[in-house]
Amino acid sequence: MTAPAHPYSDLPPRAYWRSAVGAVEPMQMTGLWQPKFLITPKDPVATYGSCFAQHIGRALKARDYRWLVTEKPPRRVPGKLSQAFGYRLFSARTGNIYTPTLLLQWLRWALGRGEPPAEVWQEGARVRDPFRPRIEPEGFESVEELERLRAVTLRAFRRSVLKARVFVFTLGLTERWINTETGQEYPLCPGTAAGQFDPARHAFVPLDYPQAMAAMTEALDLMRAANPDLRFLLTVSPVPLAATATGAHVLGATSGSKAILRAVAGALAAMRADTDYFPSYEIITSPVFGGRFFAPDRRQVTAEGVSFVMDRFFGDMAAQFGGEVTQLVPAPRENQAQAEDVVCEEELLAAFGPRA
Amino acid sequence: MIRLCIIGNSHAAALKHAAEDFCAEHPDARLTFFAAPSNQTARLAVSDGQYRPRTPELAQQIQLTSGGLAEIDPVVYDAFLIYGFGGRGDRIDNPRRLSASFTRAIVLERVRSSLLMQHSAALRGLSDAPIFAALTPLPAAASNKRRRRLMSHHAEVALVQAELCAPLGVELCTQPEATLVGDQATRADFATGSVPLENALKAREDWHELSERRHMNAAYGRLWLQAFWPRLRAMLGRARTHARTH
Repeated sequence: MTAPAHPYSDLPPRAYWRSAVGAVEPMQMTGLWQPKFLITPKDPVATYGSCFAQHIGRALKARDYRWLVTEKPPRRVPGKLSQAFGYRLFSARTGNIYTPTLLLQWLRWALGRGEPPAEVWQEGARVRDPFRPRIEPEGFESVEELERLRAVTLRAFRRSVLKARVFVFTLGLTERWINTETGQEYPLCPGTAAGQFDPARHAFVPLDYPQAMAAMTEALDLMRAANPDLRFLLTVSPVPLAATATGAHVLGATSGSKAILRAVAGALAAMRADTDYFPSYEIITSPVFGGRFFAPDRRQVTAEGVSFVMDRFFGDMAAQFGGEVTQLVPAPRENQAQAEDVVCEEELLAAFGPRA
Repeated sequence: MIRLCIIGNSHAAALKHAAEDFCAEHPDARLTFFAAPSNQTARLAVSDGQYRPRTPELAQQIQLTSGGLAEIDPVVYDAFLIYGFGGRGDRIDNPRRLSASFTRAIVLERVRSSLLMQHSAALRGLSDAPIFAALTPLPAAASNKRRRRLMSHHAEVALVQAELCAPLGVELCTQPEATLVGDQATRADFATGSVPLENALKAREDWHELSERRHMNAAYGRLWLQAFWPRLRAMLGRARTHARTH
C-alpha cells in the first residue's frame, strides 16, 4: 500500500534541504536560482543600485554580455581613472542608488516627471552635487558645470532605460536622509561625504516595507511605461550597513533593512511576470557558507564570493535555458583587486565611527 | 657649438629629415639622435652614469640613429630634447560632456604614463643641463571637424608644464604657431609626405601613405627646429652667464 500523494511528495531535489543543502558540498551547490527569462549575450542590460551592483556589470562585460553603458569616458582612458570619476560603475554616472525611493527620484527626473532642485553644496571654490556627492573627486568647478553634467547623466540614464532589455537593480539600504523643504532624498547623509548637516532641514526617514514596496512598484511601472519590453532583475546587496542612524545595533539594523528589501524584491518577483529576483544576498550571507565570502572586516565581499555568485548566475541560467548561454566563453575570475575596486560612498559612514 | 641630444620615437623622423638643412643654416648646431619606433626607448636604463639600452634590439636602433654610439653619455651634451611622447588622446564629439577636472586628469595621466616622464626623470638624475620636451604633434586636420580635442594645444602644454615638467626642471615646448589650425590640429600640408623614422635616418625617400595624419614631414621638422633653437640658445646663454658670475 503506497502513501497518499501530497504537495511535498514529488518535489525536485532542490526543494528539500537534505538533498539540496545538507548532503551537498556548499561550493558545489547549484540550482539556487530558477530564472524566469533568458538573458542572451545580445540583450542590452542596464545595471544600477548599491555598491554590489557594480560587480554585475563587470561580470556581464567579462563574459561578453552586452552591458549597456550610456555614459562613457573617452576611449583609452584607464579604468581606474574612469571609475574615480564615476564612469563604468553603472550604466550611467549616477553614483550608487541605494534605496527604492532614490531610484524613483532619478527616474522621475530622467523621464520628465520632476526637476532636480537647485540645491548645491559649496565647498570653498568647488561645488558638490548633493545627489551624487562623490562623483567628482574634487567637486565641480561651478554650478553651471554641475548642472550641465547632471543633465548629461539624466539623458544617459533615460537612454539606458529606453534601450535596455533587462534592467538590473541591486537594493542596498532602507535608511535614508531627506531634505524636509524640498522632499528630495540624498544618497548620503549631508555632512558625511560632503555638505553640512542641518538638523532643521535634514531628516532621517527610513523606509518601511509599504513605502519601499510602493516606491519600487512605481519605479518599475514608470520604466515599463517608457519601455514596454523592459524586464527587471532585482537583487539585494549582501553587504551589511556601514552604519545605522536608527539607534539600534548595526547588526540588527542590517537584518531589518535587508529583510524589508528582500521581502520587496521577492514580492515583486512573485507578483510581476516582468520581474525576477536573483539570490545573491542568500548566496553570500547564508550560514551554509560559514561566512567564507566575507573579508576579515565581516562586511566586504571577497573576490571569491563575487565570483561564486556570478558563476551561479550564469550557470543557473544555462541550466534553465541551455543552448545559447552554455556556449559562452568562460570568463576569467575577477581578481582581488577588482573586487576591492568597488566604489562605495556608504563606506564613508564607517569613517565616522570609533576606531577599532 | 651647442650639442643637443634628442631622444625620440617615430615622430623624431621629421626633425631628423630636416636636420641636415637646419645644421647648414646653423653652424653652431650639432644634433645627435637616439631614436626608436613607438615605445622601444622604454628599454633605456641608467647605469654607471650613462643612459643605456638594455636589449640588443634597442642597442641596434640606438647605434643606427646616433651614428654609431652605444649609449647616451650625459656629459657630452649641452642640452637634451625629449621628442614625440605623451600621445594626443582622442577626439570626442562634445568635450563639454566631461568635467574640467576629468579632462585635466585624463591629459595628465596620459603624459604621466608616457616615456616623456621616464626619460625626463632619468636625464635629470644624470645631468643638470637644460632638458626640453615636446609632446606628440597634433594630428593633421581631419575632414571630420565635428569631433574636437579634449583640450586645446596651448592649454594642454601649460597644464603639463605646470604639473609634470616644472617639478623635474623640464621645459615643454609648444608646436610652432604656423603649424597649428585653431589650436586643435596640425595644418594638413605638414603631414603630406612624412617620412618613416628608419628612412629619415637613412636619408632615403620613402614616403608615408598619403592618408598619414599623425607623422609630420621635413618642412614641419625644420619649422620646429627654427622655433626651438633661439629658445635653447637663450637658455644656454643665461646658464653660462650664471656659471661665470658664480
